[in-house]
Amino acid sequence: MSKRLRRSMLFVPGNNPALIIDAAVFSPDSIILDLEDAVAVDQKDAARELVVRALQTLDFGNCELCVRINGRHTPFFADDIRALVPARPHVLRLAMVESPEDIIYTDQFIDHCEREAGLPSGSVKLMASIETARGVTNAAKIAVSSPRLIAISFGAEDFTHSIQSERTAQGQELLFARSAVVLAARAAGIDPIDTVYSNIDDEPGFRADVKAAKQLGFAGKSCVHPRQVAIVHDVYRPTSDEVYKAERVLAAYADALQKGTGVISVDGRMVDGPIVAKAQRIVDIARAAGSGRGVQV
Amino acid sequence: MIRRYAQAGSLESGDALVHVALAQDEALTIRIKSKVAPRFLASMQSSVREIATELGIMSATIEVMDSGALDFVLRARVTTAIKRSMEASVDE
Repeated sequence: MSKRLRRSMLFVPGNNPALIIDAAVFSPDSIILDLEDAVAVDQKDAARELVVRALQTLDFGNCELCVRINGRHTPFFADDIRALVPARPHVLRLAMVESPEDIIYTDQFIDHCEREAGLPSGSVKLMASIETARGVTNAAKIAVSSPRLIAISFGAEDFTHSIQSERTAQGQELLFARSAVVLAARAAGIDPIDTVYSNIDDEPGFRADVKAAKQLGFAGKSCVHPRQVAIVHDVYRPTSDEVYKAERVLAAYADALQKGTGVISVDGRMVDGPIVAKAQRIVDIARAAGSGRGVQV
Repeated sequence: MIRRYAQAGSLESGDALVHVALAQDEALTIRIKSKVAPRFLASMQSSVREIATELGIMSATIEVMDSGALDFVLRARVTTAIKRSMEASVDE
């Protein structure tokens, strides 16, 4: 079965009806309705009510629906979860996660709300947003703290503040933290999602940042503007040569399964589990991008 | 019970600004200003009344300044404005 892609996760301010209604038009893999930084403290109640009704009413197409909720130690955390779980977003993205306990506590709270709403346990997934030095230090433990967790994301703005540094175009100050988040997520079998690039007018800079994220191993990128979505998809799109080779690997593997053949090779190269998995990932991404013939095993 | 004046929403396109105030009498009065009022006034009034009833409000003045809000947006803004108006004011 194909794995859901999370190349682009588009942030949408949770208190802006027009932007919420239009979000799916840009076809991001995931939409993040934001109740945290994009919403003023005195508008949290209004945004929460609007997001809940949007989830209950609007058709967001094939987009994964996430809601970024306020951190565990804020006065909005419990109200966010109580209101949102019955509206069944696919994922709650918890801001400012610093320890496994933050996730375990949230997991149990969501479980309680799922029971009250008559939903099966685990209906609503979780994503941990790691944005501080402490969070990065605990990333590996956080990544395995709950079966509900499907991804961890990295937040550079708060992180650079927490290490008393400044964010630069080169991003040297982020290299260790980004790598730590990728390793933690990949070791746990969940998706690492890279930080936002706030300068929406700097398209070359954004493209370079997405390429760097992809090379580091991130599954996708958080986006703050709709026009960033197409750039992310373009960077993550496999080349036609990569797709051709991947489809040949999958076809050979499917053929071997059918015939009960043991070891197989394509172009003189032995095909084993990791190569099949990598080929499937390339075809999945190509299919999502609207190319490839769609061989699947 | 309405305890104080409150508002929610905005005048931005696609939104509605909703004011809720104590009623002068025991009635629920709904006033709506909208460019689409000639066609959708009855349906908008019905949505506002339904939310007020769900929240147990029988007496209030609710004023909506609509800027093209969809029904779910209108309902969200009315809900928030009424809930805010039901909270105790700071000096209580």
